[in-house]
Amino acid sequence: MVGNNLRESLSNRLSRFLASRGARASQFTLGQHNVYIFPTKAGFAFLAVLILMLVTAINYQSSLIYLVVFLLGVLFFISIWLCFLNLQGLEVSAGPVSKNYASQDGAFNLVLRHSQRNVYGLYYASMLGRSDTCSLKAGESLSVSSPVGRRARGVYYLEKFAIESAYPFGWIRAWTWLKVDAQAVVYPSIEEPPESLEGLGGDQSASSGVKSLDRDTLRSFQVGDVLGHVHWKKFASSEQLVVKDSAQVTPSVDWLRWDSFEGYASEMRLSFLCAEVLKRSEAGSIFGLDIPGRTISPSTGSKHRDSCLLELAKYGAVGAAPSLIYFDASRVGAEESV
Amino acid sequence: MIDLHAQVASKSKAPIESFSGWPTIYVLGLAQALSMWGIAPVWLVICLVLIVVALWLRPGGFPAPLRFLVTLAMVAWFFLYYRLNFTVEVAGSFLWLSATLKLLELKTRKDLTVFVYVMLYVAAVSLLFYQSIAHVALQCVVILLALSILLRLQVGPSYRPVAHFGSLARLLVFSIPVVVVLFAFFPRISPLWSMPIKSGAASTGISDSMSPGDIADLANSDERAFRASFVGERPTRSELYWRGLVLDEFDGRRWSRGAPNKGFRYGGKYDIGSLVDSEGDYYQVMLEAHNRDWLFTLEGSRSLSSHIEMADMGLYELPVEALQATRYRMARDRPEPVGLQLPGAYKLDNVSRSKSYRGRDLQTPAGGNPRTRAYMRDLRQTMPNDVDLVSAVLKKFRVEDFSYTLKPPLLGKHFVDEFIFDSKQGFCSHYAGSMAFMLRAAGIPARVVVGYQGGEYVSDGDYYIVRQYDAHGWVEANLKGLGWVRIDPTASVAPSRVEQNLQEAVSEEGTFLQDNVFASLRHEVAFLAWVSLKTDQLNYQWQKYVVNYGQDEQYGLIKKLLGEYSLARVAIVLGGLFGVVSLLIVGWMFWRIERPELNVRQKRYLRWLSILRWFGYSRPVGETPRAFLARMNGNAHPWLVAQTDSRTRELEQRDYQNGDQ
Repeated sequence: MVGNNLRESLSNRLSRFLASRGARASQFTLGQHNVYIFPTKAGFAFLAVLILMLVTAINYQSSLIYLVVFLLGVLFFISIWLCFLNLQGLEVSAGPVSKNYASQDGAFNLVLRHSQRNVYGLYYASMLGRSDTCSLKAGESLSVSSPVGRRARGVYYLEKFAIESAYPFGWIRAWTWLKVDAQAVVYPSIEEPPESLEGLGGDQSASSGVKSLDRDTLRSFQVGDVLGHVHWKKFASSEQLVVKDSAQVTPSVDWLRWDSFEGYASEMRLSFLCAEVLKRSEAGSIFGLDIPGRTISPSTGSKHRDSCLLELAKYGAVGAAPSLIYFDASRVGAEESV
Repeated sequence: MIDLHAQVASKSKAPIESFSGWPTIYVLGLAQALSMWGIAPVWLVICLVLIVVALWLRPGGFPAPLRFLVTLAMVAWFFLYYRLNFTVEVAGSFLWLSATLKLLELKTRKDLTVFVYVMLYVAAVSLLFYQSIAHVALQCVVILLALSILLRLQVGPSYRPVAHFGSLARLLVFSIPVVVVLFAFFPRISPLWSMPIKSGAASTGISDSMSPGDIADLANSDERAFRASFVGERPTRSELYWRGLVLDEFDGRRWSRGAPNKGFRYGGKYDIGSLVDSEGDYYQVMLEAHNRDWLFTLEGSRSLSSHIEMADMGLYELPVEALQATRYRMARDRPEPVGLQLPGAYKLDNVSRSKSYRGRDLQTPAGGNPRTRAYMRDLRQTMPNDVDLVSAVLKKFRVEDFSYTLKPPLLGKHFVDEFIFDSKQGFCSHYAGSMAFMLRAAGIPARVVVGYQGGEYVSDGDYYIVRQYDAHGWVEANLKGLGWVRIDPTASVAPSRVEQNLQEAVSEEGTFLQDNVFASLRHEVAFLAWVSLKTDQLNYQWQKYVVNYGQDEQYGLIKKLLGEYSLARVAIVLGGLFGVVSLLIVGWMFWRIERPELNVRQKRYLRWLSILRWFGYSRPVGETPRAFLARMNGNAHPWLVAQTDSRTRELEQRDYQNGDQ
């Protein structure tokens, strides 16, 4: 029991020490300061074979076996450097923030790139697993994703991301733990609000108006127009961006309000609001969001939609503290490669 | 986009179905079979080749019951074949067998790694048996294949066979200089413990007993026994009597080593002390692996090598059987001819035996060969002097119609009688064996010595090749007033055997290499003879400098290069090597970090900046050239400002011009 406690406290200390090392950043370049290197089990086994060969060479006084031992020994030594050089200069950066709804599988997106060399035999790992081996061509970017799993709504940060490689011969493993600033946003799940509660003080004609094309006039695209209003068929035939002008049906401003769903639990309200935001944004209508502690003034467009959804995802979080996904680094260390 | 959803518990247990390098594995298996040829029994090589080929043709592998059956059958056959006869070959073959059988069920990366490691060890073991350049080249291929499998395991699907194999070969070539230094300087030490496992390989060359006709068998082989090079004066061919063994026990037909003679040593190592750098004449022998512990040395030799031991009667031995080519150096005093008193005989020093066994040189069997005994008794009565008696026997051989032949008639029970008085045709074993018995019958201590006589001189390489057909037997006798002398009765019958060679001695008969078509072709066709000699020269250099590089050679080399042999100096060299290699790699690493490509104007601007630094103006990182110019403007010499201004404008203008295009 004492041993267990001791081990626990040691591993706590170790993880605290590791947590204190290196700042969170959106881009890393691997080099001496963040790459660790150590022989693998297979590497130690290989050294054992070399020692056996050396003893054979000594006891039978065989020059040629000495020669083989030296050749393989030098290769072992060089492979330490090759293993490090393989990872050195690899750029790891956060990819686009992934957006998912609470019922879906999310993932962190990252981009790996090496401007000068091919990188071989790469494994990367985070909390939930490790990848198959992959290679990277010089100058090409490789997008990788690390799963978040099905999570409750919130904003998640990738706590630790490990990259490792046992190139070239599997004797030496070089690895790194990075705090890459990759984010995954999980929006509330989408729930259709009950019929009785629809039309929360807004004019329904905004959504129905778009559908009746014959009533629309067409005018050329201006910055600020909703993409959903573009007459794509026309664009395909004439290569002119034309929007279906629904100015005649000037939509009144919608306010999506927390208070409209009186009597429901707050998670349910968030799900209803989520569905409403999506519906309105699809329709291209102008809407505002009003939830306790945050009000977003009416606007339209996908950017507006995302900021509304983000607020719904973050609702209730104390201050700006994000939920962190802890990636258990010691687990990766235990899985030696052979 | 690659997803991280492949959740693999442990990489080492990962299945290798996706591994695409199977042909490499099979080629490795076949290459190893080639190198085990001659070490493992033929049936084993054939079976394992068949298994590898079958696996190659059937990518699905064998069904489980068949796998089990094949494994069981092979292992059972192996143990039935060898019983408990445990030799190095058996150990090596068994390792190889088990690694190859592992191919039947390679499932995980770990399995494959184990297979590769065992193959590497088997490659090393095979070098115990074969040391030719060709075999070493084959092992290089095996090592390359093994490493390429490991590399492929790591690189995965993006492995490009040609490109990666090429970079692997480059890596190997790059490491050669380091390997050479390690090879030369890594301290060679004596065996840590004597290996309990001996080789079961058949021994070649002369054996430790001699029946009439034995040596004639060797005359059909042109295999090399050893090579010898001389520093200082080169002896003539007729001086080259290479003593191997003394046969002192005669049973009426067969001469053999008597019990006390066998394995009797002076104990401990022969002290060679300061003789390592001998200033006088010496010679060096490169003995082929003959799987025996005896060596061949000229008369009057003293050892200059620390790894050989002196035995009784001036013979030398190895502490263990020569499983591989072995080199040793000897200093030598030429034996003196006895002179007119007894032409053809030479006085020998240091060949007497330890006192307690002296009587053994007079041993004769209880009965047999009555005619010879009677003849010698009569002769002794007329000639009380030993020298006269020996002369009379030699004269008998010379004067009567004795002939030298490789095809002597078969002789019966009283072989000496039949030979001396009836057939009078024989090979050196007949003459030496008979004469030793005749002298013993007359009361003169005598014995048969077997070894080699002569050798082919290779003028290009300045060394002698001594081949099996140079095997020879002669007599040593202890004559009153002279001591031990060498007497060669064959020389009295066929002087050309000693002065030229066997080929000349039997040229009329035409029996030289008669039963060995390949060997005789090599001798008759000039081109083949030339090729064979050139190959031999190359292999000789290889054996001399690489295969036989050992403690003595290292001692000599280090003393020559570093002035003194000390571990401290060796440690400095090896540490220096380590440092140099690390520095080279680090330097290469920094050199490889790509710097942005600069155009001519940028380079010119940067050069100007480095000049400005001499004047004390430096541009900190992040300051734009224009800001730097503005800063210069207030406090620098106008000329410097003007120069900077023109270079800055040049830099900007051209860059933007380029940008516009």
